[in-house]
Amino acid sequence: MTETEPASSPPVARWLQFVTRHPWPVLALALVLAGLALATIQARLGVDSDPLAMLAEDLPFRQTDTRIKQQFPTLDENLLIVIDAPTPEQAWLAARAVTRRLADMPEVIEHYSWPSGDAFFLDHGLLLQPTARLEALTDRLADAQALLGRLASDTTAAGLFELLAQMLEQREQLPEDFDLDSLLDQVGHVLEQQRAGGQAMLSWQHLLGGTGDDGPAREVIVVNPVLDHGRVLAARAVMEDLQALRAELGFDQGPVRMRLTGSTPLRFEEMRSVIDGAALTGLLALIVVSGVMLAGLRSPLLCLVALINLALGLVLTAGFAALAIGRVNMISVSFVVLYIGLGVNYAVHYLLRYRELLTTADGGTTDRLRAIHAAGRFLLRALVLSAATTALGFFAFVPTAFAGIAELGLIAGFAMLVTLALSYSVLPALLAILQPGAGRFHRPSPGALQPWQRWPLQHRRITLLVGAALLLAAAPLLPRVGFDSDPLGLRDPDSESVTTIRELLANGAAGYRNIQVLVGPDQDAAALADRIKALPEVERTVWLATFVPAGQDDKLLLIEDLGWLLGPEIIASDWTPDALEPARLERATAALMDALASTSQPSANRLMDALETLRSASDGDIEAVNQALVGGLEVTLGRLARGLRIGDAITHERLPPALLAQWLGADGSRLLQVFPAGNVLAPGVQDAFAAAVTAVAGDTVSGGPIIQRAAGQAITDAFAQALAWAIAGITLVLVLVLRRTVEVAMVLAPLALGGVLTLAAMQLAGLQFNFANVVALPLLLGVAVDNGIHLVERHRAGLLPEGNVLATATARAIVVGALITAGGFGNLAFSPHTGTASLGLILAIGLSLMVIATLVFLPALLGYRRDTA
Amino acid sequence: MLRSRLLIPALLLAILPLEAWTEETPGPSAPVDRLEQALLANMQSDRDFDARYAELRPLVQDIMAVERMARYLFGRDWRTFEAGQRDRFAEVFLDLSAATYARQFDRYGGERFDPVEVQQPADDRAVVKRMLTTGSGRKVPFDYLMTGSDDGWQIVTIIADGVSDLALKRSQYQKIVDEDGLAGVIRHIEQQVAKQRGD
Repeated sequence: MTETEPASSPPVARWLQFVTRHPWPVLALALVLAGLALATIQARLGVDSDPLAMLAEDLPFRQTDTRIKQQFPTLDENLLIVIDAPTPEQAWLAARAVTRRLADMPEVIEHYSWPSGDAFFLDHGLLLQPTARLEALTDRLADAQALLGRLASDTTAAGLFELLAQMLEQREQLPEDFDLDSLLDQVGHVLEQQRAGGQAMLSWQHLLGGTGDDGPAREVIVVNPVLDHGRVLAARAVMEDLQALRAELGFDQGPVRMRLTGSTPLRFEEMRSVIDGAALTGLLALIVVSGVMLAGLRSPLLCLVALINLALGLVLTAGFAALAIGRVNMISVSFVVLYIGLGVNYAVHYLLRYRELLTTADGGTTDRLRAIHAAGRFLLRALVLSAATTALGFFAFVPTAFAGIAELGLIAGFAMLVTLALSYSVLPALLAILQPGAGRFHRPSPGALQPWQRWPLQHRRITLLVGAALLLAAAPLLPRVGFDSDPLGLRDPDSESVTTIRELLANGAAGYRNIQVLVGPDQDAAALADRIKALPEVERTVWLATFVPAGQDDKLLLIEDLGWLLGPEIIASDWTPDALEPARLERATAALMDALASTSQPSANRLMDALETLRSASDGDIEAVNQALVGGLEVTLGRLARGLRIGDAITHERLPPALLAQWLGADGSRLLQVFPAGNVLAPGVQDAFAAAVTAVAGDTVSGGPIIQRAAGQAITDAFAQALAWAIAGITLVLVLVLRRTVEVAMVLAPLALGGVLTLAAMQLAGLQFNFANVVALPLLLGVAVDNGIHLVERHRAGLLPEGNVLATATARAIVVGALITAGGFGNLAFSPHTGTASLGLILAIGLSLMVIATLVFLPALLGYRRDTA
Repeated sequence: MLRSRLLIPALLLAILPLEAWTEETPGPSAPVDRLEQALLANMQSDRDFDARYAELRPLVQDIMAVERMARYLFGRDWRTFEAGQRDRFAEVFLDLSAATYARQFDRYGGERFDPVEVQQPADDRAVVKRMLTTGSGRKVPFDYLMTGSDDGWQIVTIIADGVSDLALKRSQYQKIVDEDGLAGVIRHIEQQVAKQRGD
């Protein structure tokens, strides 16, 4: 078919000849390997989305975290059921309805806790209130006694109407503060809503006041779900069951809303969005990458070669990850990005050089095969050097303490070797099979260079001065680029779990960003709690002693006083609505309408209209009206009465076992929950909180703020260390291979300038590194080093049009490679996943700056080469 | 009308104390019995306000736990008032109770007090439940919350038709205390007593 390479030719030439002579077996072997890799991926490759798992296990806070979770297992994975309703009563009743069902779901619910519905807190809640709150409660209840006393023995809408009628008639006898107008108005409002088919409820808590606002209310149920760790979506069963329960109870659309958040739903929704989004994003990236490739290579066949090569390399690399590690984490999963970003360059360089060679002679098969061989021989040094330096750079990540980065380094380093191997096997084999022609690609004629290709070389001095000035200007910005270790910042800000947890955190009462302190059996927990509580960053501490408060005798006396004021009926009643006879409601309605008719109340008309419609109400309507008007009493007064019936103080011995288990470990250690002061979502607040508590409690602390702080520190340190080693290793290889200090410096110049400018641009754009985008750093490192090598090698090889390295296929390959990577990942900037979006943005900025550094400043350093072309 | 029916109440008066005396020590119902008898006696006589008041004033002093009432009316503040003012308050508060009873139970129209039950949840606490039936047949439940000690039982709260007298007064007095202190409350009560008297 072709001429034979002489035996004296270099091994690479003989190898390429072998490949092009037997392209099908080579391709078949690659496909078999890819098939094996796919099978391994299927069987072994898991995804670990726990950020904590990326950190070395011997870090002190990880050990504390493990100890805390051993002693207090309910602190592990949690799921918060958040119920919002227009009134506290509706929220509480909804939460009770949900918890009653949770008890019947043992296959997905291991344990749940709902303090405001818990027997211990219902009985002893008043003793846990500050004395001043109890005194204020006494005042409010005394004011309302006249209303409540009657309803206690007749808990019906009719009883309420009769009472209102009587109050209207004897207005002057009511306590001065008693807001009868508001009560009448509320009753009218509820009846109107009820008539319109809404789920309204008269809020006695709002009427009695004291909660500080009349706004909507919220209940939170903390659930420990049963997770199936064998599945990628470990929480699928519990999430689906709870979503079904929500729909069944009608809490998905009505005024009462149930939402799911906490660590389990946050992770579940993130994983699901990643899985759901991957197909679409992948397809989009494929279209854009193909488009850019087509524009750059100007041949569908060449594009096909590049894409097949890319796909095979990706599969083989993933297969390696499955075999060597068995799982990918939040950071190492981005080897895909790395592979495409770096791997595509190898193919593009090869293919463009192939076309460049064809433009001088394209007489058919012989010329094409010769071009395959020649391109391979010409690029061998640059590609091997690129692969060696970049792989070494990535392998330098392996010894770091951050498992996420170490594993990424291992996978990405191997990927570089895979891509090199494919460039000299599958790629030439495919070229030999397809034999694409030169098409419309022409070697640029002398004098046809673009201004941008001439400028850097014509104005070397100015270009270099500008470069130096930029470097100096950008340098001070570098130390300010930080790492944001809050996983909340990565996730889709519009997803249910994220919006809900943000609402909870902003209100400060979530307990989701607490710090947990493990207090040993011999330690003085009270003293430690006091010292921590004294910190300005701390709102309060809760531990076992919180549930056995001081001053209980005074409070019991206050409770007893309240009993004397209110009378036994109010306290003995359970406040559930009594049955209501239609005839009785009719009489009471008439009585109230009579009373309203003789007043000049502003709210009278509205209530009159609402009452009028009640006269034609069905039995079902009457039941609903009864529930809407007096159903809330069970929640507000029923709970209060239960608390008032308590006669004994809380002692340690009387604490229920379930409560004890939450705060007292099996080995006698105690748990201290520390609540942050201020909004932990505001910049710096959480970090200051973690630092302050750590300063007092040492390494006995864990919890979200601690982990995030430590993870941020660990990842920053690990990256700094890894990058330093990588650059040192790369420099060493370059020195050994190039042997000329000037050339080594020139190869590294685009890295230095591009890197510094990228970090400065991030600082100016307000971007921070995070778990999702930090992978841009090694990618940019690899691209910059490869670019430097290619350009310096090409310059060294000579044969430059007009002596200008920018007029070569190499320069074109650098631009096309950068555009493909930017095209493939730039669209991530529009991803709903914030972390992913920031990766897209950083890659777009970084690649642009790297290409500018390579194609503007490096040619200016290199200068013209006068010897050829 | 009243005089013609004197016989039955007179019999009642004769029997009820007898019941009370038969007990070793007077039970929680005793003070309520005494109050109801005095009210009936007032209604069924032709005494004027002053006479009715003179009959009731020493009685309420005896059967009402005015110190305890004051504690529930003023909460923690009570202990902070000076002793002279506290004594004065107790005086005028009892004046008001007697004056109110004297004013409201002035004529007999067939009213009846019937015992319902006595609950005693603790040694020192009891609820004496009574039913007032008016001349027109309307029934009004009266709950007397009693406190007991070695000196016998006394009334702390009276809940008429679900409404606590003490809670109502607490709401009124709290506001006055906040502005004018206990002296203001004393003046307010004195005015109310005068109003009852002059009506």
